Amino acid sequence: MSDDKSAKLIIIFVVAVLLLNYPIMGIFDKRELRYGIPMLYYYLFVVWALLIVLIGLAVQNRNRRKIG
Amino acid sequence: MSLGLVIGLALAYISLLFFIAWWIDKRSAEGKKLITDNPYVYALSMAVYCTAWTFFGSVGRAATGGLSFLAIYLGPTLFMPIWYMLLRKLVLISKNQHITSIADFISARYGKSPVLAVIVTFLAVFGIVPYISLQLKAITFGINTLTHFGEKAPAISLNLLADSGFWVMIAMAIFTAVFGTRKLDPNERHEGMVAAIAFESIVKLLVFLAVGIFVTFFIFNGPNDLFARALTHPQTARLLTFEDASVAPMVWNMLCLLSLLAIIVLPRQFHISVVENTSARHIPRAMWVFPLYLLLINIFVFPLALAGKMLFDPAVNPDTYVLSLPMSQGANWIAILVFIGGFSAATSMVVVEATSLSIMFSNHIVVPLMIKSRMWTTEHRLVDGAARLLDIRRICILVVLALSYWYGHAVGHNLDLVSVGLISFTAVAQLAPALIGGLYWKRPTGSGALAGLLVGFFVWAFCLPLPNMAQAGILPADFIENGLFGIESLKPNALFGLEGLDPITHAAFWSLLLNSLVFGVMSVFTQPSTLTLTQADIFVNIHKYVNGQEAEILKREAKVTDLETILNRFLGDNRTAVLFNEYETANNISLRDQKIARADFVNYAETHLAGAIGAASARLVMDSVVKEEVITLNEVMSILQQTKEAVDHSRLMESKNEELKELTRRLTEANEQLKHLDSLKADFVTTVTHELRTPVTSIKSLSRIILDYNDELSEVQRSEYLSIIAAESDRISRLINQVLDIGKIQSQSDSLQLREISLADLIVRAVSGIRPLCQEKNVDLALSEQFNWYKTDTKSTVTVMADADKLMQVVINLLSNAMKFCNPHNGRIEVDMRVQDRMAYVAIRDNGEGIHPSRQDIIFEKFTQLHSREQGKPLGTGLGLYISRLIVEKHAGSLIVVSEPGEGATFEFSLPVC
Repeated sequence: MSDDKSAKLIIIFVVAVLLLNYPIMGIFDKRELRYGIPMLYYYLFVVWALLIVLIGLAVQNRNRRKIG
Repeated sequence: MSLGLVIGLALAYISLLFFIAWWIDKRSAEGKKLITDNPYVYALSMAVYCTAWTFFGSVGRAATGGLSFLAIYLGPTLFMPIWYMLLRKLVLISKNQHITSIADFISARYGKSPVLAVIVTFLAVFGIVPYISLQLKAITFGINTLTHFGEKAPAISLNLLADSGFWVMIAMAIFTAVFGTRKLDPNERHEGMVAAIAFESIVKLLVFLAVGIFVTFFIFNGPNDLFARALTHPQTARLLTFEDASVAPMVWNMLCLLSLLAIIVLPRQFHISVVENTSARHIPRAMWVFPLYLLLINIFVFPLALAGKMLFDPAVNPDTYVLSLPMSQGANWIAILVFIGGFSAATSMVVVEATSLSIMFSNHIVVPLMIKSRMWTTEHRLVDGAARLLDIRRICILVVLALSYWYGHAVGHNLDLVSVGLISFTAVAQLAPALIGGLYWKRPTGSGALAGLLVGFFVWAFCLPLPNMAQAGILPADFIENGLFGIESLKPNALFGLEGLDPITHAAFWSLLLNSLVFGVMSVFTQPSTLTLTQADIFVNIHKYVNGQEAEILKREAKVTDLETILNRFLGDNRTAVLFNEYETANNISLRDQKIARADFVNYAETHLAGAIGAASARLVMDSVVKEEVITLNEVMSILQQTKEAVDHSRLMESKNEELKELTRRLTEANEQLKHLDSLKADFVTTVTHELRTPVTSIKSLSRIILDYNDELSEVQRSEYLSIIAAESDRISRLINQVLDIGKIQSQSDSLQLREISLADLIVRAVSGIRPLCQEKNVDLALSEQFNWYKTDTKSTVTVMADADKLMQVVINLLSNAMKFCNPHNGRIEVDMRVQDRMAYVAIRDNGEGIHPSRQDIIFEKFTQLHSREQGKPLGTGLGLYISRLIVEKHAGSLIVVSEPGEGATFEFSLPVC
């Protein structure tokens, strides 16, 4: 695995740990609705989707570069 | 809804699965491209992670613990970078080592230890039993909810035959035994099963999305309506935040960690993602497709939980909401779909888990026992090893399912689904330190791994299943309240006084901490065996070994017939024949002709046998026929000697190489010098011929004039011409002599006839030889007065080693030069001599025009002549100074000129005094 890819994955990991932990998660831990959806529920799924996109870009970019 | 309909549907669904598996296996047997060799199928098969727990239990957990259920699914995404790196390594190693299960993997890493394989197998079986019981329970209450909706749940019957759970267990056992052991594959690849699992993953996802959409959009008016009402409902409002649902950060993090470990070490996840992996290239895509699957299947969990909580009274079990919600609206067909989805989730889990456990059980417990008892060598040997292995596995599956039924029936009946599942997660997480530690650290030993595993397992058992059993009345409950043996700090829910954590977090914390600590400490304080060291190197540096390098230190040999017998028994005749053929073709030899198989064939046989019965068992079997040559000290010494010779040889080569380089450099230099000399020679020849042509031309023309006009010429003219011809002839002969001199001096470096001579004597003789010429030209030639007493005082005679004739030539040359260039009117030449630092210096000074500094170097070159300002034409041949310097330098001296224009010139040569 290239160092480049490892570095990306590690950055994603650090970001994920920060976002899915206190105190940042505490900001959204409120009994409120955001766009009609509970804030925490909304937050967790948005972060989750974001992580999936980032991981997809990080682990697959080698193939893409080969094509491009 | 009738029970018959439900059972009929379940049977129809199972038939569909059989059809898929059969069809895929048929394609595979026909050699067509496998549908499982695809990253999406790989990712979907990984979704075997989503079991009845996900399908029913998550909603139940969300109804009490709010969003904390998400940690189990977010964890793998959160730790994806770690998982990715681990998984790549696991897959590469497993392919290299023909690993068939996690027990096989850990045992192989620690020197193919049979004990470790047994312990891991037992730990996995005990750890997974609660998990399988969860699936049986989910199917059972699924059937009960469908058939008895609205009625009070039937009391747990003491009569086995009247208990629907018992029949569910029997049905699942038969299904799994038939489905998971249809054939024996040496590499434990089950394409048909994987394809069926991937299909089930699609079914459960679609069904769950369907029921989620039904509840959110048809029972409620979309998510906004649902959440708005949940916010006002006191029962559900508290579930919207972690704070109100009392989910501590520690709990959240521990659940994330447990889920990550589970996804690596759960036997079924290991089986699907490592053993069944067809290519490491599928991993990157699975790394985002699988989390995406998890996200989708979880989107509606929370809305469903909120909806159930709002619509049902608290008496309804939240684990059944997914079924109850559509049924309460009369949407029975949706409920049936849900049942099929949940059934899918449960069956896929049970099939893979039980298959994986049965592989471990037969490979690491039954087969070694058979080998030990020599069953396979006696007359009552296995008639057909392969068929017997499959039977063993079927029995294993039955035993595991019976255990699970017993556990669910006796212990787990008053726990919710997720709590039961987490007990299993905590159990299998105990495998993680030995597994992950052994992948990145070479030091861990078998003892370290064994000790860590046992400690972790006992702490887990003490903190989770034992208290549950006690509460169920199987064990005395006293130790829960008062601690083990009445010791306060040994309470299973507050070990060492750690209170305030929920049982799972508490147990996971202590078991993993102590496990890792003991593993690390024991590893450092024990010595690994040779085989462990070899294996550790392969596992940690797998990338080095992927290209087919095998590390085998031990020399082993065995009889070919013995090996053939073993392979026949465990792999079958056909497979053995194929293996023999492959080996013979690859190595271009005939095994039948060889009596004794060499080490590489022994290894070849063992790796393939390991594919069927695991590394540790294969090792045991092999040990019975293989003669392991103990490497003697002499052999080690000879190996070392060989190595040393190789090293020496390479050093020699290196120095030779250096020498060659030096030689090349010198050759190049010599070549350069030759080229230079060649050009010099060409110059020289050009100059010499030029110099010769000038006098020849004048001799020729003058003699022709005399010949043609002899009569007309006056006597005076004729004699003038003749004298010029004579002078020019002299010049030619002088030139030729000098050229010959140069050639002689240059070619024969040792031609000097060195003798001890008195320098003063030589100079005086030279001066007296040239004095008449000077007087003729009216030049004053003066010797300094030293010459007088050098001559008289023999003590201070300056003696040098020199060739008297050559040195004389130098002095005369310098004197005649001085004579030529001194002032034509009142010319004066002074000769001086001194001794300084063991060197004698002789200076010859004239009072001519002097030599411009820019010309002072050039005069010593060949054929450079200074033009006298007054006479206009060159004097001499231009070789005198060159020859003089050559001679002086041959005598280890030097010749220099000191001059200022207009002040005359001083030529000084030096010679070492002897």
